[in-house]
Order: sequence, then structure tokens, then C-alpha cells
Amino acid sequence: MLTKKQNLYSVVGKKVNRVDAYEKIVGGARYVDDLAFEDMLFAKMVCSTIPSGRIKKIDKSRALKLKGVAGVFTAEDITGLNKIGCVVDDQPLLAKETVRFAGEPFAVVAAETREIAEEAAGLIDIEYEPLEPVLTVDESVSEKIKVHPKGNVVCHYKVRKGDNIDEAFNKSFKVYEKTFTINYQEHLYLETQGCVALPENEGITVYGSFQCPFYVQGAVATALGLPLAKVRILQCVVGGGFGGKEDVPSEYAAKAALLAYVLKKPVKLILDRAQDLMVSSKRHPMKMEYKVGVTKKGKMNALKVRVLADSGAYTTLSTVVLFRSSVHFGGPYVIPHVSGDIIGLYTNRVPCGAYRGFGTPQVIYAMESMINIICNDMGWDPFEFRKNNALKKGASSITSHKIKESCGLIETIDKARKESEYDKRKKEFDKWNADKSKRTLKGLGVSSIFYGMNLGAKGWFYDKAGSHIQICRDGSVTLCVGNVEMGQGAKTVLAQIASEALGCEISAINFTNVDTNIVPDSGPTVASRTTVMSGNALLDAANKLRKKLVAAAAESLKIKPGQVMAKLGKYYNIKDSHQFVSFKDLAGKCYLDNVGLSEMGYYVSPKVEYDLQSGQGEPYYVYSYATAVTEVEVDKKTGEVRVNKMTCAHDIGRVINPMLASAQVEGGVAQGVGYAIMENMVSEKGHIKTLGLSTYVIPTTKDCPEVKSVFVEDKSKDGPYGAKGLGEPSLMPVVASVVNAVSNAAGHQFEHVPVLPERIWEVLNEKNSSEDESEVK
Amino acid sequence: MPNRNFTAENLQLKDNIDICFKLNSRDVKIKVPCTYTLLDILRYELKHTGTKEGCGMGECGACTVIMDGGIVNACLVLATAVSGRDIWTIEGVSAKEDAKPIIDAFVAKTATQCGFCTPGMIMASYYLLSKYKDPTDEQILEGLSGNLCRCTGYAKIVEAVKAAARELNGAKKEARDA
Repeated sequence: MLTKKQNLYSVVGKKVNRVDAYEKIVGGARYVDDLAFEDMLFAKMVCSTIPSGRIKKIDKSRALKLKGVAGVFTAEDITGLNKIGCVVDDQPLLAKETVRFAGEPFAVVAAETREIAEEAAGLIDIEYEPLEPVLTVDESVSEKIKVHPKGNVVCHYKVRKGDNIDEAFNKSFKVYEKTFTINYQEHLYLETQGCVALPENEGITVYGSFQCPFYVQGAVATALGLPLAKVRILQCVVGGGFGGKEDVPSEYAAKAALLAYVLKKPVKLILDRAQDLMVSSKRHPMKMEYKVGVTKKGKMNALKVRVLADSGAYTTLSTVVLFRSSVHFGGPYVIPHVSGDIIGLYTNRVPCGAYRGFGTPQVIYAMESMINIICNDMGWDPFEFRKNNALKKGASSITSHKIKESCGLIETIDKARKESEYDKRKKEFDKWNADKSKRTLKGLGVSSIFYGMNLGAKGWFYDKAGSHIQICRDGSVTLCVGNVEMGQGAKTVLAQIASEALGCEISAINFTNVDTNIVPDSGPTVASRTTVMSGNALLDAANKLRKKLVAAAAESLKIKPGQVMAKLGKYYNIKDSHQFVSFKDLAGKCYLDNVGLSEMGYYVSPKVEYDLQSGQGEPYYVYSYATAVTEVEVDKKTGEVRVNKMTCAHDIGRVINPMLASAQVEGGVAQGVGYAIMENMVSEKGHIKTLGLSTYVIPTTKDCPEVKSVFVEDKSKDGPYGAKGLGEPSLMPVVASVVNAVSNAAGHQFEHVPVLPERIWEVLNEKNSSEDESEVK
Repeated sequence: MPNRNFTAENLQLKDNIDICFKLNSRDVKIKVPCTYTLLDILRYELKHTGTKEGCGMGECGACTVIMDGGIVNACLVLATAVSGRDIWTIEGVSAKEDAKPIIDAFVAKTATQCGFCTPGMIMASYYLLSKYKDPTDEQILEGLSGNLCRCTGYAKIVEAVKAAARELNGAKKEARDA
């Protein structure tokens, strides 16, 4: 671990301001809805109003008669293939014979104005034969009604470790069992989904708000029946993604592209908030049955888990999301006997997919709740218990992955305890709670996590990234990578990496938004992989350029290349820093000497070996780790919770930018707090009822805790400058830690998330209401 | 809301109406569909795209603008109610001298991430700091509570507003001392 003093870098590890901040602040940043083109049409999707049924008839005639309507497209108008499934081919671009969830698009309209498109959408007549919908995972698993002909199981991941799980439980000193349920979470990116498609060069160009421009490229090519090279994707500034813009934007881009391609006009498709809430993917609701055995010495010796996840009407990304659940359900602990079954199930509800944490916050909530129960029951210290079971170098995870490097889990546990002043606060809170005259109860909660970096065994073939760097003759630099800036600060962190490697000033660097014509397919902007993947791809290109610049500098300075050192816009003589040539002059010299300063970079994630049958092996090459401690206050009279403070200790390898890293943690905390105690998506008979921000309530300035973030830098050998990822780990421990704090305050382990005031009030008033708690809502 | 320079007795849904108002100190005269909101007028007619649409239902604050000295959600102000008003948007405010400390503080404190809520947040902050010279924490939290942000967790935004207040007060003090 390098201390501040030992940081030899001039840009990496520094608090550099965001390179994209100013434009965003003054309103100059161009999001997709800010684009306008001559003759542009506006599109509107028309969606199923029932959760399950056969389509008998779709009548476009009334809509087509409306003045200003350019086209009404249904499945039969698709020029390529009517399929949109990203992993499994089970989803149509436009429903043809069957609708499988309320909100499934079956038609799309293009008109001269948004108002006409809206009106026309209401004039498309559809006749259904309604079918009995499957609305819960329990109904789905019974297979009484099949959502798809092949059956209701989307995927079933197994993890089997140790010889005999039942025998292991028999040998346990104590065994704990509990079932947890957890609701949807909606991404609620402030910018709704959208894109603009333009017919160009006998193909199509699509601008939009995407996390995965290359997924969009593939989906558009499939829908239009075009070669990939005829489909160009240009990334706009993205108003938040959080996983919600991973595969989902492909659905809208393919529809807009189809209209544009056939009608030969630019087409803009922007979802309004209500439609976005209704049709776009969510975080999987789950029912999670947990059984944990512990030894007398405080070791977990057996873990049995069965998870039923509501995948919704189509597979979308469930198979990869739930793979991650299957790796993380036991937490960052060493447990010798494990049996896990993670089952994704079709229902007639909105498809669920990627959301920051990717199938892990749910199972972490269950696992960390079990640990809270165990520690409370046995009177064990929650930090010591976690440390006693923690992964460390040389130890093996539940998938028998022997940890070889970069494992700062125990340091995060120690740091979180110390920085949160847990022991002092615990005493204060115990005293406070003993005073019955107080209006509130106070509680502390802990949780620890690990997170596999990059796409892992299940997605290795997508796990590559490209980059392009060009140095202009005046020393200014353009970068293009294949992963996107969606708010997380990728441009800034990547500019720091490039600036360090090239030895140029960060102000010399200019970013080109992702353009599929410039960079090769770089996989998705997900899995907290951008710093590592695009960072390494940039290093690959930068190192090639640096070699040329060093050679040119050596020639100018009349020294050997080995004596050249580069830093912040100057190439020095290592022995005499007064002897230097500026980056700008070097670029000029290379130009005149016809030395090309344009390079591609490429990086592939380390290969891992994993056996899907047994769920054993190396699912990911390395992990980030974190521990969070939360302080809450619960109002005894109303059940309302105030999350006062969170202390988060993260091991993310090298911190490239401490200011942006703490910003990520604060944002993750806010989203996790919302998930834990506020955000309640209500779905009745397959219809989402919370279609606005006054009913689906996310945290405001008044709901967010004080956040203290601290970092452990156990560097990863494969990360750029030793970095790992942070985007998702920032949210992952939050829910469990908040729920544990609320549970400890109320003296009851809450079995359902979100933990709403009415439930807390009930518990505090000793009213037993076990109904609705057992099903995934 | 009764409007001032406009009569709407026989208005049909598809009619266009003439409205005049002041936008960032300039006079605007424009014909727009009567169903338009101020947000539609700004974004679609006048290409002032700095003001964002996050929900169109007055719930997120991304379209916050200043109207006759108070902050409003532009998506809730109908075209008929815009006539005669004095409107300021991010394009106008960000060019003002007294907004500079706010902009600088948002950059320095990394108070923006995806940026979609940010123009609205700047408008609310600008209004807040025009109302309170030295706002308390409670006043800042209350003043920005109508502006949703999904990325930052607000901490750095609140820090930025505090830093801007200090800077503005310092600048005023310097002006007085000089």
C-alpha cells in the first residue's frame, strides 16, 4: 500500500476537477433530447395495457388518418428480425402474437410533433384475448401457467461446496434460518431513456443515452437487417444510467432506427417519465431462504441458500445478473460447506435486469441480516465475527476461489469500526435507548461486501476494450474509448490515466464521446469495469506513443532514451530537470519528422476458469471490498427512520481521484438508503401503480446521511496503476447496513425491503402482521 | 391562473397563441401552441436546452427557472401564464457575475455527476443565495429539497452552496471595504 508520500505520480491519485463539470453546470452539455435535426419526426411507443394475453387484432387506421402522422409500425413492418433479447432470444422488438407484461410495446408511431405522436398513440386499437397472468415467483415456480412455452425457469445457478451440507449443519453449534423478500428498485436516472436515429450513408446513425453503444449497434443491425458497419452509434452526454441503460436502450434505439430507416427522416424517441417507469427494467425482486450454521468458536461452517428471483416477462440480462448473485450470496466469507440455488423465474411483470450491484445487494441484504441475527443472538461482536470469517490472501471463497492478491477486506472492517467510532457510539446509543422517555430509538448496523471485477467467467468473451489516442501537432490530445461517461467520472479518471502515461498536462486532453466508427467493440459500461478496462486500453495506446515521444525527446536533448523522464507536459533529462523539451514542442517535432502520433490500444480482462455445474472456480479475477457502518434513529411514534451517518471503508485498489471516489460513495449511499427505507414500487395485478416521482419516492437533500468515506488501497496487479472498480461497491453494503441498524434499533430483524415506517410502527407496537411479508411484491 | 395580457375565452386545444415575455433580460415575442408549457417554449421554440425535462410533472426540479423573482418548475407553467413575465434560465444566470462563485464552487467541489439535474440545481442555489446571504444548513437543505439528484447524494452540492456563500459574502465585503 503506497502512502501519500510514496505516490510518485503527478496526476494519478490527485484531486483533479471533473473535466466535464463546467459544461454540465452552465447547461451547455448536449443530452440526446437537446438535439434537433431538420425534418425530425417524433416517435411514441404504444404499450400493452394487460399483463398477459393474445393479440387478436391491431388496427392502425384511425391513427394513420390523423394529420401529421408519418407512420405506425407494428411487428410486420420490421425489415430485419423481430428480436431484441440481448442474451437469450425470447423477446420481440414489437409484440406480435402475445403480450407478456403490462407495458410491452406492440406498436410505435412517428409524427411531425410530439403532440401528434401522443394523440396517434391513443388512436391505435388493439384487441386482446386476456390470459391469466403469473404474478409471483411462487406461482411461477409451480409452473401451473407457463409464461413461455419452454417453461418458467430462466436460469438456475448452483453452488456446491464441501461434501455433505446436512451433516455440516448437524455438526454446527447453532443453526439459523430465515426467509427474506425484497422489492423492485427503479434506477430513476434523471434523464429518461431516449435516442435520435438518422438515415445516413445507406445505413443509420443513432445518437443516444446509452451505457453500451455496442449493444445498441448490434440490436439496430439485427432489427434493420443491416451489417454492423452500416450502423454508427454516437454517444451523447448521459443523464445517469445505474444499469438501466445497459441493454434496455437497444429496444428504443432499434424502434427509432427502424422508423428512420424506412421513413427516411430523423426520428427522435424520448420516453416520458411515466412510460419509462412502466416499461424499463428494474432491480430483481427476490425471495431468499437462508440457513446458516455456526461453530462454537464463531465460524460459519455451513450455508444453504435458495433464491427465487422475479425476472419478469423476458430474460433480458437475468442470466448474467443472477450469475453474480450466485457468486456473492455468501458474502466475502470463508464457509467450508455451501449449497446455493439461485433461480430466475419468468412472471408476467416488467422484465428485470441490470442495476448497480447486479443481483448482489439483495443477497447481501439477506446474508448480512443473518450475520446480524447470529451476532445478536450469541452476543458476538459484529466486526470480530466478520473478521473471523473474512476472506484474506490464501483463503477460499464459497466458490473455492483462492484469493491470491489485492484483498483489503479486513482492513476495511478495522477502518470502518475506527472511523465510525463504533464502540463509543454503541455505548451512547445503549444509554439513549434505555431511557424510555426518549421519542426515538438509535441503532448501529454493519455490513461487509466483496464484488467481482469486470464481467467474469460468464461474460469473459465481452470483456475487452479498445481506445484511440491522437496527439495533434500543437500538443493537444484527443482520446476516444468504448466505455461511456454516464456521470460516474470516467472521463476525468481516464484523462488522469492518459495524462500520467503520456506525460502531458491534463488540460491538453480532449475527449471524444464514444463513436463506434472510431473504437472497436469495448463491451458494456457496466460491472464497475471502465477504469480498469478503458484505463488499461488507454495505457496500451499511451505506452506506444510515449515510446515515440521519448525517442524524439532523447534526440532533441542529445541523451539516451533511458535517461528521459516525462511529467506534466515536459520530457526531462532524468539527471538534470532543467534540461527538457515541452510536450507541445515534441508533438511539433514528431509532426515535421513524420512520426505518426496516433495509436489504438486494446485490453482483454484476465481469463478465469469456472465450472457452472458445481459453481466452483474463479468467477472473477479480483474483487473490491467494503465495510459500512450506519447510524439510524427511529421515531417510536411514527416508525419513521432518519439515517444520520454512514461510514464506508472501501478497498478499490489505487484511488485514481480521491474527490471523485468519495463522490461515488456518497451517491451510492443515497441510492442504497432509498432502496432500504423509502423506494417502494407498488405493483397490483401486474400493473405498476407508482408511475411518478410523488409515488415512487427517492431521497431528497433532507433524506441523505452524512457520509464519511475512507479508502484502503490494496492494489491489483492487473488494474491501471493498481486500480479496481468502485461504481457498484459504493451502493452494495448500504441496504444491509441500514436495515441492520434499523433492526438493531427496533429489536427485530426486518424480513422485507424496503423497511417502511408502517412496518416499523407495527413492530414497535408489537402488532403481529405476517401477511404479505412472505411473498415478493 | 388569471393571465395578464391574454384572453382565452374561445381557445381551442390546437390553437396557437401570441405571447410576449422577457427572457434573460431580452424581449421575446412568439407564437406557440396553447398547450405548451414554459418548458416547451424554452426547449423546443427558443432552443434554450439548458433547462431539462426530468419528469414533466413538477416533481424533479430539473426544469427550475426564475419567474418574476421566484423559482418555478417550468413544466408546470402554461404558455398563457408566461405572458408579461420576467424569466431567467440557466443560460442567462450562468452569464451573470454573481453566479460565478456558484459555478466555480460546483466545479471545485465536484457537485455534478451526470449533470442532468445540475442546471436546475444551479437555479435553485442562485435563488437561495439571493434570498439568504448566509444560509444555515437547514435553509440549504430545504431550499434544494425540490431538486432531485440521483447521482451525488447531495453532500457535495450542499458543500458547494456553502462555499459559494462564503465567496459571495467575501466578495461583497471586499467591495464594501474598497
